[in-house]
Amino acid sequence: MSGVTLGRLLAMGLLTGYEVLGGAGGLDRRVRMVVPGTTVAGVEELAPGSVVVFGPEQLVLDDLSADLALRLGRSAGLAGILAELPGRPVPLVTRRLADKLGLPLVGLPAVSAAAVAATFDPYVRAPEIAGLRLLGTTAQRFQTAPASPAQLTSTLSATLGGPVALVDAEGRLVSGDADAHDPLGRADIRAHLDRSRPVAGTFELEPGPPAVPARLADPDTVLVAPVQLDRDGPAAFWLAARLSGLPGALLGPVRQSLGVAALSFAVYVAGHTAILERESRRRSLLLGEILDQIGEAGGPAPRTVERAAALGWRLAGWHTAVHLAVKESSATIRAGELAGEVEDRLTSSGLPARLVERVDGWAFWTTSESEAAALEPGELRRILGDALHAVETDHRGLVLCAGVGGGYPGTAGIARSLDEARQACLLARTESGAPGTNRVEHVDAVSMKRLLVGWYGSGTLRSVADEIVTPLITADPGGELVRTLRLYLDLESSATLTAARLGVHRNTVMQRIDRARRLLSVDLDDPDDRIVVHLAIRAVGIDWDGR
Amino acid sequence: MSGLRVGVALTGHRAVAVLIDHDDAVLAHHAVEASSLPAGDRSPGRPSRAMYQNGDKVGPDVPDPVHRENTAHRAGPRAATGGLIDLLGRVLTCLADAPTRARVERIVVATEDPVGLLERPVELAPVGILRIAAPATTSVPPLTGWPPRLAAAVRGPVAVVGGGHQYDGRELAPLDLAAVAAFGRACRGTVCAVAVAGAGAPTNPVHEERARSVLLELLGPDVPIVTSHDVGGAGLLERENTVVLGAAVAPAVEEFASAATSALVEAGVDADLYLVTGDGTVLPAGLAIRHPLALLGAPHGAARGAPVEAGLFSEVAGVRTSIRPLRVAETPEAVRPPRGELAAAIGAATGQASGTVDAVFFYGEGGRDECVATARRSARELAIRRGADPRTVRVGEVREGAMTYIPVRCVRLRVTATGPVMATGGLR
Repeated sequence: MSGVTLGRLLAMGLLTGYEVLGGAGGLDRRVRMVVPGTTVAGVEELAPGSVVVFGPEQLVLDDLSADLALRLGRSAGLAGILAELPGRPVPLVTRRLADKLGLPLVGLPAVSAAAVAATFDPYVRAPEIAGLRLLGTTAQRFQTAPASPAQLTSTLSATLGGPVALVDAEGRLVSGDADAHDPLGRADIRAHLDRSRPVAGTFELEPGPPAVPARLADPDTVLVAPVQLDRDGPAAFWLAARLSGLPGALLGPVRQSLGVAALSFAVYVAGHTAILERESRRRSLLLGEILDQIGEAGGPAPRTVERAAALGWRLAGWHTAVHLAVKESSATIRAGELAGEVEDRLTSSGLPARLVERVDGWAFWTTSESEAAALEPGELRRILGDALHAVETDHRGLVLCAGVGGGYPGTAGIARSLDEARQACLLARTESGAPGTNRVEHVDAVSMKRLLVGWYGSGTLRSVADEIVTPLITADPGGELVRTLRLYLDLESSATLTAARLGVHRNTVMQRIDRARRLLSVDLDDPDDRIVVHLAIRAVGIDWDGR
Repeated sequence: MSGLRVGVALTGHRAVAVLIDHDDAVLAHHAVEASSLPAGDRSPGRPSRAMYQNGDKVGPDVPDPVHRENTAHRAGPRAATGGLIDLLGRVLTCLADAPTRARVERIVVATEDPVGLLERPVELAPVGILRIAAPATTSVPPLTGWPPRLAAAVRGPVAVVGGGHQYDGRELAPLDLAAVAAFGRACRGTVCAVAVAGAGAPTNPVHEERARSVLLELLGPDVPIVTSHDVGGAGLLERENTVVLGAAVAPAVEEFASAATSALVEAGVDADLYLVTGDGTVLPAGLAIRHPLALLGAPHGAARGAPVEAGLFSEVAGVRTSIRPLRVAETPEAVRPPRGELAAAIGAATGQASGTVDAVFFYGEGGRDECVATARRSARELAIRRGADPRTVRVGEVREGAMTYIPVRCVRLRVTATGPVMATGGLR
């Protein structure tokens, strides 16, 4: 339905306390102008599609002249009659006459007829004005970034006059109305949100059952706008608004309003992230200071100790450190948020942790009074494993791993445990097991693996590794060849098992291995060479020098 | 907008109904007779009434009507109304099938039976009589000159209160609202209707309307209030007598109108109900209660539809006229229209709405022309209020009556506006 209707004018919220006394069936008729009335008889002279507003001196609704006005109005093709509500109830016959004639009769509390007509008329003659008003209001309300996602959705919903929802990059509802979130499951809308280059979109929904019987049900419109922190980056969030009965003239302004709100919210998110990062950096710097000062006489300076205490860090006692890292992730995941989520999960499991960002992940330590009181390694691994699994579930494509160091006393013990934890974590990263296994490695658990750490860390092996693996990577930059060969060697040269794990045909695996053999300078059939290749290929891509 | 209309000519014995389309062509017709049971047996438990004819008792004794003054007579549908409604329902059901009935836009009933009570005064209920004219006219109280039995039957609380207007529109006295309220309280529970007549009301109805509001609040919406400014004419006594008679039959008219409306709903006809008036025009049922006597002569008025049906015309001294139904009744050897019995029903169905203004207008600055314009406009508005379509309503000739012996310049004007009834619905 194009054009402005009396129903939409009333819904704009410019008038309060109005009452539709009768003729509601005609509220969806197009309005051409809103004029103040002079006399009841003068109604006949008005143009079709007019809405006339009467003051109390011209028309009293509990009088028979109301019936005359309705009949004349119907004959002239009016779109509605507005008049002041009388003190007494409006007679039923008048209301029924309005219903029968299909002419809306609306009662207003004491308002000046000229003022009401002047308020509505611009919106009718130039619907763009309604659009400008909407955009202006949105811009004004979002001049400063909202304080929270909930404030974003409630303010925007009140401005647009319909439900609004904020969803994250994976389509989960963050805040707002389920009515605006539900339609996003539709296949075409879902596909639009998944696009690599996010862009605003408009969709029409099938109309539901009409709210007022005998009126045409207009299809609802759903508009989506991306919240991007970086102009060329993916959408961190999506804003969705669902509006009904939207005239064509308002479509552009509503879209623009959504864009303004999205921009404003992006400021909030960036600021929020910046705060987190600043906090994180402070912690990192402090930890660096502590570790640097351990070797000095007397330990860390008093000032450092004080600041550590302020953060809740314990320097005395029995410490067990944990180092966490991201093994695999996808483009939509923002690493900064992950630390917070892991912290939340650990804390709710009874292991309060304050993650400190490090070059290759995050670290924290738990402190107990003595070795005896320390948490059992198995228990610690289980808690960590559960927490990491929970965070992974919330993010498609995310795989985390962690390493646990040994328990040592005192400030120096923190440094030693952190070191071991880091190495254990690196071990966990090298593992290629099925997702969900080997997520958390304890440095004590497998002494064999400690040997590996030593080997992996050796520069000789690393340069050999590079030499060996480079031809494979050159031939196949995508890394498919390297992956296949590694898995093949891990699985004791079984092409069948390798094919099953990769989800390809056995012949494909054989072809790739043949190709690799041709590219490699060493002989895979020689056991010694094969071991070296195996070790080398497991060390590929891991940065051992980071601290 | 189906354009389907139904006209019904209804008496206590017979109902004739016709269905016409928007071109006034007859699509169907049907007639039913009352069952052979006498009227008195129709509602069990009610004693048969004494019958009076021309003041002579022809039935068994009943208590003197004077003693009935203090009993409120709203005992529910009487036998007579029940019989009418029964006939109406039956003829509608036989006239057309349910889907067709649901599409009917308007149904017009021509009947004067509800006002037939005037011939049976004992069945009249007492009315309250309020005259607004003091200190004038007190030497001729209300009901002066009435036949004693009729007067006794209708006499309820009577009051003459201060107020009213003079011939030139000036106030005779301020309206005595306290006395009106006292009268209203006296009427509570004792009358079935109230008649209000104010001096000079056609010129200035303000006092009558204010009295109406007060009485409405005291007596509630179920007691009809008939005011004299709705009746044309200059004389207070004539108007007063008319509204008293009108009030006496108003409850019966209202009872018939609401029972007929329910019968329509039961028969699946969701249409506006109109009643035919004595001059053949139609009135919305809701307004008929304010003009109950208008129903007098309805079947005859509706029968003017006969010439339309018969297509008969004659020439008199070079001026074409149509055959008046009166000549048909008086001259049996005249040509009888083949479907003569449908005449009244067709006349009802095709009846137009009208409004008549008959009042004294005082010359202002615009002189006579302004008075004429005002009279025409008022007549037009009245017709529209009664359902006429504003686009097609026509204002007739303005007839002037001379006013003699009045010192200021004024003129009595009578004008009628008529037009087809406006179709409702369909403008979505």
